[in-house]
Amino acid sequence: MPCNAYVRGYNIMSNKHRNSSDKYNEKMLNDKAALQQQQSDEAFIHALYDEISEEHQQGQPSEILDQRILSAAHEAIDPRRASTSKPIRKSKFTWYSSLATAASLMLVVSLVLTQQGNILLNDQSELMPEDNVSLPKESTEKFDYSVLANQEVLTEKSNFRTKANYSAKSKDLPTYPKATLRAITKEKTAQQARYTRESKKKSVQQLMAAAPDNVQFIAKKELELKTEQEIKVIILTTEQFQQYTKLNKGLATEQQWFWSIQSVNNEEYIIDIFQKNQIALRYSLNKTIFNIIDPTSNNSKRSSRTKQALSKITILNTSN
Amino acid sequence: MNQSSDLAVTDEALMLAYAIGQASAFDSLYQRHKQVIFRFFVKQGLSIAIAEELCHDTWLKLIHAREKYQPQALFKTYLFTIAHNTLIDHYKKKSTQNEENNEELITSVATVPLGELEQTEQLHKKLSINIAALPMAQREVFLLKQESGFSLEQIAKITAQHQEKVKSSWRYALQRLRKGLQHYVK
Repeated sequence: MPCNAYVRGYNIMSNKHRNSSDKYNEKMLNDKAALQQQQSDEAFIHALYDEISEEHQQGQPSEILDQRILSAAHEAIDPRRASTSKPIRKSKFTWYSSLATAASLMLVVSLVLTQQGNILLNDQSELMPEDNVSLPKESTEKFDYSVLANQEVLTEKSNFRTKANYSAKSKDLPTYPKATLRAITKEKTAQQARYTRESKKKSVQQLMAAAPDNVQFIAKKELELKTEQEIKVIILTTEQFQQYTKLNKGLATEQQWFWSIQSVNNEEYIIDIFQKNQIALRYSLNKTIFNIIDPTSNNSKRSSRTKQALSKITILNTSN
Repeated sequence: MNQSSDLAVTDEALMLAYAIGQASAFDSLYQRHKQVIFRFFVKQGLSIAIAEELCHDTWLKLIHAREKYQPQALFKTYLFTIAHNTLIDHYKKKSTQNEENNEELITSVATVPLGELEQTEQLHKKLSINIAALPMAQREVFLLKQESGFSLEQIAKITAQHQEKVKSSWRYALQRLRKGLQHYVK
């Protein structure tokens, strides 16, 4: 039995060994076959390449490509080529950029300086409206004298501006302290306002003296608006009133002095005394001295100057 | 540097000379290898314009990497490693376009009536078509071994692949080409 078992075991082992060796042999045969096949394939390809002539095998890159590659290779090595190409660009860039920067700085500085010089003038010019009197189209031909009057005003204005500009641009101005500068500004503004009022009055008076009715009307309206704000109230004395009365006696009706009521309170009447086309003078009439017959009748028409005869005003007490 | 002395000087020595600033050394190197590099790209099935573009890129990379060159490997292996990487980059960028180009090339060459061409010319055209039709890995291994003369070991270095994979690529490339061209060889 043990002998049989041994034999059986030997047989099994030998079979296993035989199987593995068979597989190895088979693999070897396969490898050999594959190798032979590969060698055969290689021989085939070699034969194929042998048949193709050299002409067909050759291929050349273009001359342009050759030049590009060779020049790139030389540029990479040669420092002179590199120094002639890149730094020029850099220096050009620097030149342009520095020029642009300098120009920008100059522009900014000049703008700032100009702006500083014009600050006062700009503020003042806002207070100086153009005094062109708007007219109906029909009257433009008859308006030569008013144009002349305006030209005078404008000439004076330009003189004033030149002076102001000169003072603003003078080198002493920036050295002033801020408070002084502010005071100067205020003073100049006040001067300009005064100048504007005076020149306007002057021009309007000239217009009123010689202009036809439509121009006079426009000028009068403008005058009324201005004078309402500007006229100072003067206390009327009996002597002054008597002088007005005397004057009226020697004048034609159109040239006589009239008055119009402005306001009334417990103590006084406020009236405007005026002549045709002349600036009104505002007076305060003390109620203890003067009496006005029915003064409130004109209140509703206060805005429009309603002529009242001086005879309507009576003196109560001549002692004052 | 005249022609006889050019032949005596190895590629590696020329490359080192170029790296230290001798520009003429590069001229010699370029003259020696420009054709094989160009053909390597053309045989990939690419158009002449693209092949030239890739050639240009390859040589420029070599120029820029001149100072990093170590003469431990053959210069030709180094150069073809750059060419291989350039080709891979190209395929990555334009993979679909490349396939279209291959198809275009194959179809355009196939439409030429072969009967009207000379026998060798026919054979050359057919060979180009079949090489272009190979899978990329097989095509590259085939071209590097057959046309550029590298060993399988060198190709493994150039393509950064295992040598066994290169062997199998070579074997399969041969089988495919033989299958496609056996009718044209006596």
